[in-house]
Amino acid sequence: MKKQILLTQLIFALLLSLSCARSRSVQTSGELSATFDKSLVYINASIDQYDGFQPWKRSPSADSVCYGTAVGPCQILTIAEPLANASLVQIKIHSSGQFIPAAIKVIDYDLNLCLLEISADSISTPLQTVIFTEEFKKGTELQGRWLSSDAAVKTSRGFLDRAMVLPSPTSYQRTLSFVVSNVSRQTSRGELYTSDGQAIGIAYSSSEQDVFLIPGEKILQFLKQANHKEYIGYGTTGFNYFEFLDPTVRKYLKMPEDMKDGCLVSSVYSKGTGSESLKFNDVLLEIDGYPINAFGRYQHPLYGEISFEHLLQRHVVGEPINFVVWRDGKRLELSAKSQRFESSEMLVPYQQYDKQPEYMVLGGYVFQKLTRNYLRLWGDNWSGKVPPHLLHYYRDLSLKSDEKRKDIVILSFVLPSEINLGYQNLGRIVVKTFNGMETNKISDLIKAQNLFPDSPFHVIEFEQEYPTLVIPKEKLSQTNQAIAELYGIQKTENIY
Amino acid sequence: MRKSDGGLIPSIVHCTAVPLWIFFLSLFFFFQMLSAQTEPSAFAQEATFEKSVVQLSIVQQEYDYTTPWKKSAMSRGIGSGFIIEGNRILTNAHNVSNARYLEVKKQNLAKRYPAGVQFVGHDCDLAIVTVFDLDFYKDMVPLEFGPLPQVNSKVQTCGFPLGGRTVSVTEGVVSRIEVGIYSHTQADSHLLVQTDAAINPGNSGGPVLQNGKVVGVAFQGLQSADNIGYMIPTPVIDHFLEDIKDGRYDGFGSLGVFTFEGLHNPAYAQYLNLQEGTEGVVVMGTILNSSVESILSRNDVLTKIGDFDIDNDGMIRIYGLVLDMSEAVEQKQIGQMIDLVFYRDGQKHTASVKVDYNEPVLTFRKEFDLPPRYRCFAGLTFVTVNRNYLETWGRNSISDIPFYLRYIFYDVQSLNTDPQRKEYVVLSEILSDTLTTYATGFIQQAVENVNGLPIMNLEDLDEAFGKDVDGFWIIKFLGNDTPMILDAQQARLRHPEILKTHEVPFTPLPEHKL
Repeated sequence: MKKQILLTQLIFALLLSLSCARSRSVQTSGELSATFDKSLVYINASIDQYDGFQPWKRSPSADSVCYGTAVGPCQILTIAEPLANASLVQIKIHSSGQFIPAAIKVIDYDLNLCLLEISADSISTPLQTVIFTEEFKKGTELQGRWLSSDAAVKTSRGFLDRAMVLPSPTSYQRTLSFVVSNVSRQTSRGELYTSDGQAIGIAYSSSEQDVFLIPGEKILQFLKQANHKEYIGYGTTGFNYFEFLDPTVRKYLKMPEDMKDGCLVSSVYSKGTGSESLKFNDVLLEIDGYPINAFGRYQHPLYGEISFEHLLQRHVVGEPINFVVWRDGKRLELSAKSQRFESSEMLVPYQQYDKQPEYMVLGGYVFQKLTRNYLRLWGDNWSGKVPPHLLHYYRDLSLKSDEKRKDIVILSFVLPSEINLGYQNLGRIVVKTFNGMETNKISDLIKAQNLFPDSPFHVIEFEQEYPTLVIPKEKLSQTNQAIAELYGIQKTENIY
Repeated sequence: MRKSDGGLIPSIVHCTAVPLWIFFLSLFFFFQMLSAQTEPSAFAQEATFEKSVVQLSIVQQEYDYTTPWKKSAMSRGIGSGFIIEGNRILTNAHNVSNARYLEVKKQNLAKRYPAGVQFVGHDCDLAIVTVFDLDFYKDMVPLEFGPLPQVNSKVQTCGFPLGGRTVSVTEGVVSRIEVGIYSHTQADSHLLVQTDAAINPGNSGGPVLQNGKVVGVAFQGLQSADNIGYMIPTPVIDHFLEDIKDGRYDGFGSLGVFTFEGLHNPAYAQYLNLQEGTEGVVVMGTILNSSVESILSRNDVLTKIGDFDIDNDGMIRIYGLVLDMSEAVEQKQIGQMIDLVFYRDGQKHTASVKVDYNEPVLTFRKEFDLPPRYRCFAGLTFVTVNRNYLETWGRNSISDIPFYLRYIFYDVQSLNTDPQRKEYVVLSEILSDTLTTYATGFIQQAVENVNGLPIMNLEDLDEAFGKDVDGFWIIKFLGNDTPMILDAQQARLRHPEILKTHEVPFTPLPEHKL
């Protein structure tokens, strides 16, 4: 009987000690997460963007809030999207409720990352630096942490589910993301996600169940470049592709029956990695020695199967990159260099942040450069609402512009005045020529005004069936001034 | 900018983009019976109504424009009509469009008379119906036609709102006379008369009378406003009745020219070397293959059409009113000539132009009565791009349809520069089969060429699918670099089985030509 009691006591003691050990383990994890708290930063920005339709004036200011993580004694990392068009950025750190001014050191909209800097004098002690890890442990529980405006640390939880290449909210590119599933809160403003004392990534988007992170790998890439004298940036994909499952098309391209891998190049852009070496209908078989499957994915040692775009985006601009393709019935090895396709180089720029749109007002006619920002002014489902001819330039030609044509210049609308009587309902149409000169750049509007100095008119032709626009030169400068005063236009042109 | 001779293109585009406020609902005018204290002539008219106005019961059934060998669900409708000379019943085209069965009934009589459609003018929303049993006409009195009514004059509208056994008569005033859209095809514009008559669901095709004579046919109302109803006036009715005298309905024509009211701007007028005070409209362009294509050029200034001077708004004085210059063309039948005066580089020119259909390759009007043309080769179903097909996307079709179809719909005039093109063809459906397992991404795209042959109309597919390219069918679509590629031999083998599985009426594949 005694032996039985002793055995029971022994088992109970063992269970108790196991329970305590587990309790200590949980506490340790919490403590580890709490060590990040002194690195968390609250960010408030004043957003001042220009009015898309009346680009000479700014829209009303708006506040934008996001969250940062210290990555240096005076440097804070956050996502780029909330700071687009920011005119003033201020932060709060964990120990103080005071706002501290911050400056944008580097902002990369392709990576959706931003590095802020504060003056060393503005803080009493340096910020506690966080170092991100490239590790990826599927199924790990993650903690989200951020500093709220009232200096409290807020948290959320979720599980690291998968790595994917997903569309970026600030770029035409698709980039590497971690998907955190079963999250307790939706977070998408730069909140830090950690696990077992390691910084995994920062949140940039969320859905009902998931939070999407910019992973440590991309953050480390960005920070490595951001502290160089000049930020060069990383390559962007210079072509589009389709998954390639159709055996009939493989047969048409004279591929051996046992060759089941490789995705199909469906279009090649005017710039970006691969744009100079790949061709339409190439079958992309390998990149840097990694085989590419029919879905366009390769086997990553940590992430598993992931889109080949991730391989291209690892390279700093100018670094060599190797492709193997199937072309004209043969396997072909190609060497290329990593390239970056800047938004500003596109025929219709994908995004245009931190800049005043380019425009010119002449005789009450408002000419603008066509951008995606302009098209988005049509609101929800904008692509179904904008004039199709404008959408055609964005959809079909934006990434495939030719050497000659750099901008699409449009007559956006007309500010009614006596000089433009009869033309006042024109708008949203593409300028073809100005005084007989092809309008290939918005700056051509300035050059063309000097042509035919003896003519009493400026003559503008548009694409499609629209009337010839005739602007009398007589007293045009006075008229411009009068229209500017009437409609409150401080500057009648902004062309870079 | 405007299309001077019908205004089809800009109007329908805007109509579709903002459907709620300009969506015309075809309804019946409904008035209280005039009392015995009203004007003495009302007694005579009441007697005429009884012996002139009839009720039409119709069973209608549309086609399915995606899988065109099928028909949509049936629907039943009731409309009005009235007897005119020659034992004929005049009514609205929309009452009898896609009719599978039609019968006519007199006021307060139980007997139904099966009837048929003799002529239908969908563009002017008028139709002639005849009753097979000639006894029907024995006690009926045909109505006569009067002139275009004056604005602010009284009119009486007769019909069968919500069915009923007796003719309903209501009184209203002519509020406005103008050129406007006829909602039946959603594309055609003609003269119409607006009245302040109350509008109720149920009756179109009834006569609108003044002094006992027909001055219009009630046909549509404005859903978004109170007391706005429309009738088809006698100039349009006269055109229709004149047209069918040769036993065939040809329809209304146009010139095929796009114009702009640019002469409001003195600098533009000066640039065009016009004498001060010259009024007219500026030519922007002409429709490919139209009557005026070889006559008018961009920046010509049209100053006169027929006997009518054109003002800077593109209006003419006609019927004592100021109306769109298209009204001058409306007076002509297809094939008749009309004179134009225009200025080019300041020089006056004259020309006589044939009035013809002059339509772009993508017509914007809805089609009726004719089964859609199609081809189904190995499950690839091709139809022509038209309004009926685009409306299969539903009420928001214009923003929901695939981009390139929308582009064609809006901008066909500038997109198509090939005079050989008769229409656009779209791959509307791919019937499921192992042959096309990986090809479904190409559905709802407009065809550019097949096996290297450009597809300018549906019939071009017959020749194109008789060929192959090294054993493959290669189908290229507009706005898409990537073609659809199918194994031609497999497609030929699978063709009968696919048609059988999906119950498509069998048609053989085009004969294979090397």
